[in-house]
Amino acid sequence: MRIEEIQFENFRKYVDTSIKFSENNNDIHVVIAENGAGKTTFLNAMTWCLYDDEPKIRDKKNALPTLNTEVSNNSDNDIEKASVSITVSGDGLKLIYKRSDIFKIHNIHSDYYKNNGKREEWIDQEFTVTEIEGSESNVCRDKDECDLLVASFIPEAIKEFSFFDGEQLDNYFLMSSAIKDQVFRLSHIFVLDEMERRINDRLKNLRKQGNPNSSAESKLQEYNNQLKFLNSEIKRYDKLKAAYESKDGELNDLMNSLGTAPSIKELEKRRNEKIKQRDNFDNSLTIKKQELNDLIIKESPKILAKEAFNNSLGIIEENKDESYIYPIDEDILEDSIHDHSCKVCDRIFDEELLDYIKSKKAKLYLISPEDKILNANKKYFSRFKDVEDNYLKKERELQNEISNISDTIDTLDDEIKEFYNAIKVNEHLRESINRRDELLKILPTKKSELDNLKLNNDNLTLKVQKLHEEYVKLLEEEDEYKEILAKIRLCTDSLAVINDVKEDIMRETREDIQESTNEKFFKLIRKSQTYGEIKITEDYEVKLFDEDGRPAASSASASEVELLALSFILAIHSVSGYESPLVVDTLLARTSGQQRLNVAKSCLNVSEEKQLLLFLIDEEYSEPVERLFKEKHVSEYTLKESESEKIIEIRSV
Amino acid sequence: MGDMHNHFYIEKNYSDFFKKSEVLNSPRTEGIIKRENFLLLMSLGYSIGFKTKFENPRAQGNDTFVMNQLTDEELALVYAIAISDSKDPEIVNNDLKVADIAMEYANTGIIALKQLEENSQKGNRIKKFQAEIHDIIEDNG
Repeated sequence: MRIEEIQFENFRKYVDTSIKFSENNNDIHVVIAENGAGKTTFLNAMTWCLYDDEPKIRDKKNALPTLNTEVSNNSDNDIEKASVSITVSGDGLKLIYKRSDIFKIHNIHSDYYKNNGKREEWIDQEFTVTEIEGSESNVCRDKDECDLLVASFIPEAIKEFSFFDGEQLDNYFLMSSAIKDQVFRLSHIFVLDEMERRINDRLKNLRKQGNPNSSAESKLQEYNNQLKFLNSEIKRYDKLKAAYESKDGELNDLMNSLGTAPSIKELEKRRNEKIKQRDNFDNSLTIKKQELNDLIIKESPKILAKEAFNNSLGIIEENKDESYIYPIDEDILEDSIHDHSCKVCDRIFDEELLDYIKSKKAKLYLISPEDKILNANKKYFSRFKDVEDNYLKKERELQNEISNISDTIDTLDDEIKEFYNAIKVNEHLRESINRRDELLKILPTKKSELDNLKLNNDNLTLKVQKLHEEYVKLLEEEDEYKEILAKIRLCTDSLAVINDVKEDIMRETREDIQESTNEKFFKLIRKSQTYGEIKITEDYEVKLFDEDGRPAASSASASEVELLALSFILAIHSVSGYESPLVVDTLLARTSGQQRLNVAKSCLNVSEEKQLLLFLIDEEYSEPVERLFKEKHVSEYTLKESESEKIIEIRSV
Repeated sequence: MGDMHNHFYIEKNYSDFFKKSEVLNSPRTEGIIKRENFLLLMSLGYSIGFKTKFENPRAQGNDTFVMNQLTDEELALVYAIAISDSKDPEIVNNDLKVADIAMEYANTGIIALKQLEENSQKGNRIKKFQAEIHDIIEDNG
């Protein structure tokens, strides 16, 4: 269907004006206006008329009333109306949509208002659709019926595919989920959706009708809970399995590429252990060397001075005097006198000898202090004579220990060097080896977790099956509920079928849209060599690829992106069967020069298929575009604001 | 034993060697003056067989170091050398003479050890000294 005429009556600045879109050579119509000259109001008027929606008014609460303020101020009537009517036609049918806001005009006697004391009050809204077929006409006022008649032109749910802003075309690629939803509606799947919802309700009711006194309901509840849990566990298992298989594959690849390359971490660990051992032996070696050093320092003087000890003993002996040097212990002498016998040689003392010894003992007290010193030192002098053997023995022991420790250190140094070499050889594979070792470590645990989960899931599946069987059995046992059971089965089967059909339709629709988008884009762009194909993902992301299959959207020019969006929208129109007009605001604003001209030419192509209403600002309507449109006899209109800035007129150029 | 227990003297010129000698000092004890070292030098000097005159050892300038009290065993070593040198047992009654003899032999010991260390490579000096001891043991029979 196409728009034939739009009439305005007191709607904002459009007081009494209309625009007719006659179909001449083509069906493209351009409305040109300066910024702020009423273009947006025009577009809002169209969506307001059809859907009671003015999308371009941001602050709806504080917006002016739809009734023109001049009309409101100067009215002599009690009631005034603001109306917009859109006449559309196609297939021998004409529809006139007319929406009116009805206002009551009050006379207010207050200095506060500067409107000569007039003030409008919204009291009601009317919406009518007049159907004209041949000579018969019918005015429809019923809301639902009117909405259906609007939907037969452009359903509100997909109005974004008919009324859109050229500057926002890029956004079509950012709102894929919304597009999917709209395509969902276009595909008429909502009918199936509704069926599914109703069958589900029915199923719910049927299940509730199960014997409320029986345990079937609680069994069903238990079954549902377990089923839900099982499904979540199966999902978890699948996720873990995928992760495990990915890691297992990675490990296999690593094992193939690395062969028997040793674990670097293990090598480093063993090397560090050896270094630690070596350090310990180093410490031991230092201690043993110190002990040897101490032995030399402490014992060698006695060896070096051996002659002095011998000499000293000789000198002391030579200088010994009976009354002078007396090397006998006083206590022994005392005991010998007491027992009249010598405690050294057991000789019995006679009286004469006893007197002699007593007299000598008396002299002992007169021995000089140096005698005592010499007596004290003689035992050392004698002992030091034997020091050499002890020294050599100890020195040999220490030397052996030092030698053994040094050998051990040398061996450890060789081993450490070998570790360093092995690490160096495999250094470039460090990350891969570490990863391999990590996987070797964690994968058995993961496998075990996976197996356990699988086992649990198998058990759970059996449990769920058993619960279901029990539930079914309980229902079957109740004769009067057999019919319900049959219905439940029917509903369940129906739902499965509906779901399959829905998926098929969605897939087919998407494939149709993809095919149509490709066809339209390559027709509009006229550059078949640059791009290869367009793909539409399941989430309705539109993806452009070059001839070699590389993503190419980011390198596309602004005009190419616009054409891509336009092609996509046209494809949706085509697939949906709604051959409604396209009403586009500032389509050429984002392009310039040749690109702009290309888009304009593409519009001429589009207009061969459907009506195209373009709203352009002066800057967009460049000379080449104007020349092109004039050559093709495109209808041009301008919007002119009155001097009072309260009224806009539409003029045909 | 009066002052002798606590004070011996090393000729100033040799103080550095005394502190840094490889034989006298292990890495652990480097720079620490030990009385054992003095006794070693004294014995070494004695084994060589002559004393090196040490004029006015107690004058200021020579390095003196307070030592811990000599043990009985160490004292016996000092006395043995003093008696052997003086051939007079009564010398043990004269601390100053005993100390002078000890220091003069130590003076010889320092010169000998210094020569030994100068004529051998670093790291090998203790072994060289060990070999000297072995020779002496062999000579002693």
